[in-house]
Formats: sequence, structure tokens, C-alpha cells
Amino acid sequence: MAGSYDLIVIGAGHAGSEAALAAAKLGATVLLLTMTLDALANLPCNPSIGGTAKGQIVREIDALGGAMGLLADEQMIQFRMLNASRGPAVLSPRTQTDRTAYQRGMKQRLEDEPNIRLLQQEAASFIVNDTRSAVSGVRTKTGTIYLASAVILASGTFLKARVIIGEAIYDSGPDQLQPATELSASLRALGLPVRRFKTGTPVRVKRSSVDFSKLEQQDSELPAYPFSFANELGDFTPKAELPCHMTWTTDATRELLLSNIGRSPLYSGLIEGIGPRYCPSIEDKYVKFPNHLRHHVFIEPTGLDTEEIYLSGLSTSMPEDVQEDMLRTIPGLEKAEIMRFGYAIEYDNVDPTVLTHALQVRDWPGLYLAGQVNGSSGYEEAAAQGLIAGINAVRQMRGQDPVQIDRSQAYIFVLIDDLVSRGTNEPYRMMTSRAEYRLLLRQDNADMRLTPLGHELGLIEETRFARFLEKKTAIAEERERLQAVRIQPDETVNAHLASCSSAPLKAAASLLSLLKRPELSYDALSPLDPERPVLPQAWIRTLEYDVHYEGYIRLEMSRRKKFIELERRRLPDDADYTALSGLRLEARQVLSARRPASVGQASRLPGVTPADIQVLLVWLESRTRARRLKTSLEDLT
Amino acid sequence: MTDSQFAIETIVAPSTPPGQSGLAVIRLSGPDAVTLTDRFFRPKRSHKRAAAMAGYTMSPGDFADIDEVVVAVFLAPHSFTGEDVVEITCHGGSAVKRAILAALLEAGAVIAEPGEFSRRAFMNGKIDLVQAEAIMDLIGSEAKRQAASAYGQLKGRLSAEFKEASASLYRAMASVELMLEFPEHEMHAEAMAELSDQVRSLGRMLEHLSQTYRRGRLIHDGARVVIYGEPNVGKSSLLNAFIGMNRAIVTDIPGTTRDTIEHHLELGGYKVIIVDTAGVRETDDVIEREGVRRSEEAVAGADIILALFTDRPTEADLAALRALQAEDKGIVLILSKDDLLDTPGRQARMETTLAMLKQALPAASVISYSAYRADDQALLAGAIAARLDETDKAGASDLLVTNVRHKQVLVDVAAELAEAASEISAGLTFDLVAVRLRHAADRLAELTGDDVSEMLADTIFSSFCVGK
Repeated sequence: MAGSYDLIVIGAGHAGSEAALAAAKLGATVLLLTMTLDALANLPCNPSIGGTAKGQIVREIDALGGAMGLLADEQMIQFRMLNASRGPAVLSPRTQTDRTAYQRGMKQRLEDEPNIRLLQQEAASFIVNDTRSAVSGVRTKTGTIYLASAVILASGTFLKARVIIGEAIYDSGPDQLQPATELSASLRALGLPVRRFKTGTPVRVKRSSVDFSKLEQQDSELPAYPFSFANELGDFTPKAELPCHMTWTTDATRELLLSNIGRSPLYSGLIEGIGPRYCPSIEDKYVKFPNHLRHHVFIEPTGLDTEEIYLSGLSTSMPEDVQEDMLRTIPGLEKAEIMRFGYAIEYDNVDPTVLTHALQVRDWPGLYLAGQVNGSSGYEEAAAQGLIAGINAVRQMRGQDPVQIDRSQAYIFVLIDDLVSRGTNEPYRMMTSRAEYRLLLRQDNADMRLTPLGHELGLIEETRFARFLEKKTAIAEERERLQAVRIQPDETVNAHLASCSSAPLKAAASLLSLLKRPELSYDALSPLDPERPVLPQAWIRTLEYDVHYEGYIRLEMSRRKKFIELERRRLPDDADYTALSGLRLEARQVLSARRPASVGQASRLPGVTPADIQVLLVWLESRTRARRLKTSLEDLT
Repeated sequence: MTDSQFAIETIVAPSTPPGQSGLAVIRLSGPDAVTLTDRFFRPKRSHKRAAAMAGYTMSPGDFADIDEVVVAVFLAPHSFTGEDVVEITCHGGSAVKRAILAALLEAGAVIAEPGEFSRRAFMNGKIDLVQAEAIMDLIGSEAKRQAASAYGQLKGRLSAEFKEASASLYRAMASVELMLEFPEHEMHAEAMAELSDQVRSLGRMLEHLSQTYRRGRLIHDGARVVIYGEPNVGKSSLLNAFIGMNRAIVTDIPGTTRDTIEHHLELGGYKVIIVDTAGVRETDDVIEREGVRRSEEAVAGADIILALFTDRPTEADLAALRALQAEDKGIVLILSKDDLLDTPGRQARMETTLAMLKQALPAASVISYSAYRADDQALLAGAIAARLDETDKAGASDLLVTNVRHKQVLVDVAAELAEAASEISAGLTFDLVAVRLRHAADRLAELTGDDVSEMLADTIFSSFCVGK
């Protein structure tokens, strides 16, 4: 036995790093095992952080005290706010990051944390404490044993990974890194359901070989907004503001890919794993959407220190010669020089329905799973799970309850609840439509939703929490001030309103009531409001959304109320579902196996229908209610 | 014996209404239903156990016979509740029922809570919630048409319609979500217009369905027929003659009838509730004022108004009746007391008044009437039934909404969808449109049984009475 820690984290990708940092911050000693110290926090696909729904997750990670937002801010080389035309609920920040610098930044952070021991070694199997039937450590490939109160597995796409390019197939992790060959067997030995997923990545080409004169340029957006709430005061300036470029595939691309489709490992049967429907390869797009004759290609920077650029939308596992030929058919890329071929990668992962909402394996206390090993996809989704698993592992060893998972509070909780309640049969990507209360889960208010929780958990330090409270007060006070300031209807006022295409005032009105008009922004009201305080733009946006969309927010709140009631309706631990004959057979089996804590959770289990939930509710009601014997014989006869 | 967790106790209650009746049924459900009954049941012949047996129930004290009864046994799971059920048909006197119930309680049965039989049926997968609601309606049904409509619901026809509407709403929501999720998806103007139309027409469909409620209510709750007129025009005489029962006090003193009196009857296949009102007139008498207030309420809630006159109505009366007609109330104008025609000049005056009324309110039925002529009762019944047929045809639809909860949800959802359609047309951002559509879908789920709020289940079972 070479050492004993509070926590061992296997894998130093986005999930593992967040888990280790959170646990260390909470005071736990952590051993962080990585296959190689040279590929920590790797971004093996697009070095892009954020995007629709994912941008919200990064802000939530930051609001809870995680690292991803801060690091992405430091290494931001391009910024865009997606979905501006689609409304505030889906507004999502998306950035390109300086890939290698991001990795160095994370490594530095992990090295700076005294509670973390960072060690390059492959974990080969779990150590099981037979008396407690709990996982209590790890044996490395070299036979060394490390013990801990808890182990978090964050193996990403490394378990039994193999790479497929056309007809070529070989054992490898992403970026030619070594796959983890032994741990899958140990997971199976614990009785966990291991299955195979597949994902893929596009071609990388050399910048100087691209003919940019033929391409449409999209500049980095100004101003750029930071992910981290810690960076929202003062001017935030990204490290660089590089443009991206856009081109389209052509008829020739389509012909080439369809005529070579038999050589695609996806269609030849070489690939066994299930791939993500929402992120198909280019050949898959042509097969699945035959009416789409051309597809977008975004050409995106991957760093300041490299010529390598990323071709977003061209994910492929076609043979190398087809990949070469494909580029010849795309305007601007005719002479592009490939630096890395696109490839598909298959890997082992675990059906996440074996987990509790704490991300702990239900049957193996002490073992937590986080990130792509749970069937998710994406850096952001992985980091979020790592953060929560890290927190919960520490809370468990201290005898504290795990973080309460409330879907109406954060995308992170939607993600975890979806994975552990419903499971997933393809790499799970977060989308805004997965959240029932999207207008409440905006990117701008992630701190309002989660920073108090982050503080309570011990991840948000006092100075930052004090700043958060100041912000909250300032927004509330500004709202009160807007309510108090009354604008008299006169010619200047009405002329200004007319210039904003807004109806004239007939009687005196508060600034707040004017701000409720959808056509009037806070900025547009500035000529009528000379006394206004100077507030950071980000704060004003939150205030503005809350006022503008009050009616819709109220609708969501009323829907949420009903949701919360069912979440709070606890199901007894000793419930014998097999005896509830009103439940359909499948529901009886699922409920008995999964033992949900609340009616709300039960309602999200596959195989449980609304009719089953009604049965549960009526059953609970009659269980808790004392028999009322108020009816007298006289009344009845 | 069933495996239901409810079967801990065996419940008992009369399933026929309280009060005197020819026969009454006492129902038991639960694991001990059969053994409990056995203890106080003496079959007439010692034949083998049959599904229904004649015999006697006995008193627990001295085992003396209480009553001659028929006992029917339904073994689990082939019973209404899914548990063992015993139905004891006895004579309908309160004392008999009470004695039998007391015997069963003594043996260990417990009195059922309101709706408990249906709740057990639901818990044992025998019925769903919408069906439970329909059972409640069927139990209360007093006329043929009403029973047919409740039976239709029980068979799930209305549920199917709600489910189809819900599926259609989900299709619209999917288009909205696609737009929100994939920024590269652009939506063309035609697609937007199509989406807006889709949402709007779904809203209209639901609104139409909600409008069948008026007819549905007519069939389910019965038509409220209100007798209206000045004091002392013979309203109570009409009521008495018409229903052939001496329910209201008939005197010549104005204002005797100070409260409204209702009587339920079946007329041309419809359930009809005749409401007698105090005379509508200005008065200082406190008690009478209360009566007047109630009769005004009754008129407001009426489907058909029997407006009674002894002489030519004033312009004010006619205006009031026209206003009521504008509220879709059927009007039957009745010239009363033509048995007093021996008064000189009266006959001629009646003739002109009748003609004048036909002209003043062409859409109303006009009849001359005497409480003492049997033929006139049939005439009046025909006039009321004709008015009901009109309403019935106006709301004609295969499906009827008869439940006020259903109607309210339909009205609300229709309004939300109309609003959402306008928002799409006006170019409101889709994230907000989605909020409204999701809200509408949640509400609609209250009708399809896909809503899982506990409030719903509670509301439904709590409105049952004991024994159902």
C-alpha cells in the first residue's frame, strides 16, 4: 500500500479536474491519477467552450465555484453570443479557447492546489473492502495500491478505446493517447452494465493552406462577455479576438461521400458503438438528410501558438483518401493540407441508471462516476458532473447529505437527473429543450440561482459571496428606484418614446412600467432617467429580462410550483410496489429496482406512466390519511 | 383475496341513496367481504354457494332474522373494485339498513369513506381517473340522454379526443424546440405562418369543444326551467298542476312563496328542473326581498323561462324578456288563468294579447294556459321540450363536455393557444412562445390523465359520496 487519501480521482480531463479541485477546496486530500501529465484537460475535438445550453452550464459551474469558466475566460480567443434572435432563455455564450494554453492553465491550477497529488499512472482495478462491500481504493497498472474513502472514475473516452478511420482500426484513445485497457473488466466484475458508445471528430488543416479569400468571415463579437461572474466587473478583454470563417459543402462533396459510403466504418459495420444523433458525421448527415444538399462548415482557430485549424461540421471517419478528396470539393479548402485526419472513437461507458443522484454507484458505496463514462458528451457536461461528484464524495465522508438535485434550479441538475433517472442510449448532449423551466435557467442569472448554494457548500469564498450579495442588492434597489421614479407626460418625453416606436404617455408612469414595454430597453430609457446609477451591463441585463418577461416568468413559476410539490412528495423507503396492483407490471418492476426518493423522480423513470403516478399519489394519500369515521350510520341510511 | 394494499380493511356502505325506498343495496369490498357476510347470513336453502343467493340476514345479538335479502358475490379480481365484493339487497327502510350495517360493523367491517369504492377500483387498475369522473356523473344521471353521454365518457371517447389535441399541441411545440435548439435552422415566413395557423386552429377546436358544455350541462345537470312573473299570477298553481304534486303552497296571497322550490322530472328524454320563484317585484318586506333576490338568481341561471302573465305585459316586461332571450335563454310566454274567461270582454282581450305577444317576441313560444285543464299540461310540456330540442341541436356534436372542470380547462387552453398564435405572428421570440405552449400543454394534460398533480386525484375522489 503506497498511500491513503480521502479521495482518488481517476482521469484528469474536464470531469476529473473539477472533481479534484472541488474536493481539495473542501479540504479533502486527493490523489489525481492521469494516463499522461501532458494531456490534462484535453480538448480533443473543437477547442470550443460554451454554446447552446452548454454556455449556461459553464456559467452554472462558475456560479457554484468550479474552474471551467475562469479558465475559459483566461484562454478565450473568440467570443459569440448565440441565439440573440431567439430570445433571452436560449441566449448562450460560446467561445474558442487557446487549446494548449487551456491545458497548461488547468495543470497549473491542479499543481497549485496543496491538497492534490497529481500522479501519472494508469488505474487498473478497484480495491473492494469486503466487510463494507464498498470500493475503497485503486490498484495501478504497475500493481501499486492506493486507498481512499471514495473513488471517482472520470475515464472519459479512454476505456478500451479504439480509433477507426475508414478500414483502419486500432486501439487508441483520442489524439493517439494510450487507451485504458484494464479498468473495464474491473467495472464488469463489480456487476456494472458496461456498454459501448462512439463519437467522432473532424479534420484539422494547416491555416496557410486555406484560401480565405473565398470564405465568409465572422468576426469575434464585441463586447465579449466573460463566463465567470468573478470577471463581470470592469472591462473584460479576451486574450484574442480571432474571426472564424464559413464555407459550404457542395454537390461534389455529396457525390463523393455517397459513392464511398460503403467504405465508411459506420455503414460497413466496423463501428459497433452508438453515436450521438445530435452531432452526426458529414457522411451520416448526407444519408440521414437526403434533402439537404449542402452543409455549413465553420473554420475555427484552435490556438495562438499553432497553424492548426478546425473544420467544424466535417466530422468524419471515412478513409484518409476520401477525407483528402472531400476537402477538394469545398470552396476555400481545395488545397487544404490535412494535419490530423478525422476519426471515430469507440469506448466503454456505464449505463448511468446504476447511479444515485449523488453520482454514486447505488450498489457500491464509495464509487462515483462522472463525465463521459456516464454516457454524456461534451466538455461542459463532463465538468459539471465532476464538480458535483467531487462535492458529494466529500460530503458523504463527512456524513452530510448529497447536493439536492432540483431540475428547476440548473441545467447541471437537469443533466444529472436525466442521466441517472432516464439513462441514455447515445452520447447525451445538453439542449435547452431538456429543461422544463428554460426561462428561469438563463445564463445571466446562474449566480442568482446557484451562488448561495456554492457558498453553503463551501466552494464560494467569502469575498466573492459578499460581492454577489452586493450585486443582488444593487439590482433589487435599482428595480425599486425604477418603480419610484415617475415620468410626467410631456412633449419631450413623448417625442423620445415616439423615436423608440413606443406609444406616448397619457398619464404619469413609473420608469418600471415603461421598461415593461417590450420595445423599450433600459438603455433606451436613459434620456428620461438622468439620475440613474452606473451599473455593470451584465446586471442591467438581468434586471431587464426580469422586468420585460415578467408575465412569462410568472407562467414558468406557476408550472414550477406544481413540479416542486411532486419533488417534495417522498416515497417511503419500505414501499412494496409489487403489491400495488393498480400499477402496470413494468412500473412495479422499475419502481422496485430503482426505488425513487420522490413521486417527482418516479415520474421520470422510463416505464412509469402518468397513470402509474396517479396510482402512487392516491396510494400515498390514503396511506398518510387517518381514516375519518365522521360518517354516521344515520347519515348513511 | 386480492393483493391490493388497500385490502387491509373491508369497507361497507349502502350504495343506494339514504331515505326510504323499495329496495336498498349494501355493498362490502375487501378481503373479508365474504366471511363477514357469512356470519350473519342464513341462506334459504342449503344449496351450494352461488353468485346470488336468497336468504336472511341475522342480528348479531340473538341471531334473529333482520330481513329477507338477496346476496350477490363478486370475487376478486372480477368485481368493480377488483377486490372481493358482496352486495346485499335488502328492503329499503332506514331501520333495516341500519340494523344490517350495524351487524357488519360489529363483525369487523369499517364504514367506507366517500369515493372509497371507486378509489379502490382505481388503485386496482379497474378504472382511470377520467373514467372515475364519468362514474360519478353516471351515478348522478337521472335521464336517458345524460346516461348515454356519461357512458360515452366512461368508454373513453372524450379522453381520446383530448389525447389527440394534446398530440397535436406537442407537434407544434416540437417545431418551436427545433428552432430554439439548432441555431443553423432558419425558419421561413411561410413556415412561421403555418405554425401560427396550426396553433390557432387547435385553439379553435378546443374552444368549440368547450362550447358543447352548454348542451352537455343541459344533458348532465338537466335544464333549469324557471317560472317567472308578478306575484299572484298563478306560478305555484302552474307548478303544482304541471308536476302533479302538491309541493308549493298555493294561496291567493301575493308573496307566499318566498323561497325558490325545485322539482326534478324527465321530459322528452331530458332531465328538467322546474324552479318556482317568489314574485319578482319591488318590496320593502325584508323576508320577501330575500325571496326576490333568490328568484333573480334563479332567472339568471335559467335555461328556459316560463313567463307567466294574466294580461298584456308592459313594455318594460317585454324588454326584460328580450334581454333574457339575448342571453340564449329559451322563453315560453304563458297567458294564464283563461279559465276566468267568463268575465265580459275578456275573451277578445286575450285574443289580441296573444297576437301581440307573438309579434313582440317572435322567437318565443306563446301559449294560453290553465292550471285546471289537463290538455294544457301536455301543451306546456311540448313547448318546453321543443325549446330543449333547439339547444340540443345547436350544440350538436358527437362529443359532449359535461364536466365543469373539463370545460374550464378547455376554455383556458383555447385562450392560451389563441394568444400563442398571435405571439408567433407578431414575431415574439420563440423562447417565450415556448413558455406559453408548455403552460398550455400542462393544462391540457389535466384532461388526458397525463397530468400528475396530486390536486387532481384528490379533487376527483373527494367529490364522490359514501358508497361509491
